Amino acid sequence: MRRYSSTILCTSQVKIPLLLGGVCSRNGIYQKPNSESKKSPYPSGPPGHCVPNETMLTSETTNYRKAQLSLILLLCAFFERQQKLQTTNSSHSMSWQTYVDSNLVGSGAVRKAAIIGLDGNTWATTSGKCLAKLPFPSHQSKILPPQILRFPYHFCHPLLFPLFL
Amino acid sequence: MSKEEGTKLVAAFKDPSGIRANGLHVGGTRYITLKADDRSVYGKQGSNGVVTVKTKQAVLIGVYDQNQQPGNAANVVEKLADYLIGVNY
Repeated sequence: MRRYSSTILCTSQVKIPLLLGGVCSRNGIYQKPNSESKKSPYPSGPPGHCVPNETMLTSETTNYRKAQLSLILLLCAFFERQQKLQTTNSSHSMSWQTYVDSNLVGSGAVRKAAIIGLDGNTWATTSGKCLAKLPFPSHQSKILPPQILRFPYHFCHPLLFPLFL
Repeated sequence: MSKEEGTKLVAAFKDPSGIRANGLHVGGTRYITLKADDRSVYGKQGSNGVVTVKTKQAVLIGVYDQNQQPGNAANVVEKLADYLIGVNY
């Protein structure tokens, strides 16, 4: 069993061994097969492309390939779950403030607005003093980049995912 | 909006007799009750007023001043309440 361990998939933030010949950069351009893969009986991928040609797709490589894919999918599932947990925690208070700011006061028809719970606790008011406990600061979501640009979504997004294969 | 005002307002949707007699207190201001039923309570103080609508889990409160139309304010708050009731809030 031969292991092409020298290959690394380079992204801006993470490096995952691809176990294929050559080095695959972020934009998918084949950069430089190292000396080990040159000696190997398998031909390296065609220049200008990181996907190996058909002769290279032996059962070993496809097995490696499957292992990589399942690893990436596992990572995706894990980070997606983390992200969901984070949004469900913070969305409660965030959305009430949004209703007050955009839907009520933002319409221009009311000067001040508030949303209170049936227990009398204030959930959101115009002044922004929300008495509900915020697990995250309310301004945090404004600082974060759009979801598609966040780290795990590099892999999860259907449009970006092919870049990493 | 203090907690005491909040609990009194929520209770007013069940039994409006208290706010009909003593007025409706929102944000430290006392409003005369214009309308009170199990869905919405409207109050007025001079040319200012308040529109409160109860949804399934919350109460929406909107305060308008002399530069705003009471009808528009009621419309906006009731519409948002309809939406929230529609999504089980």
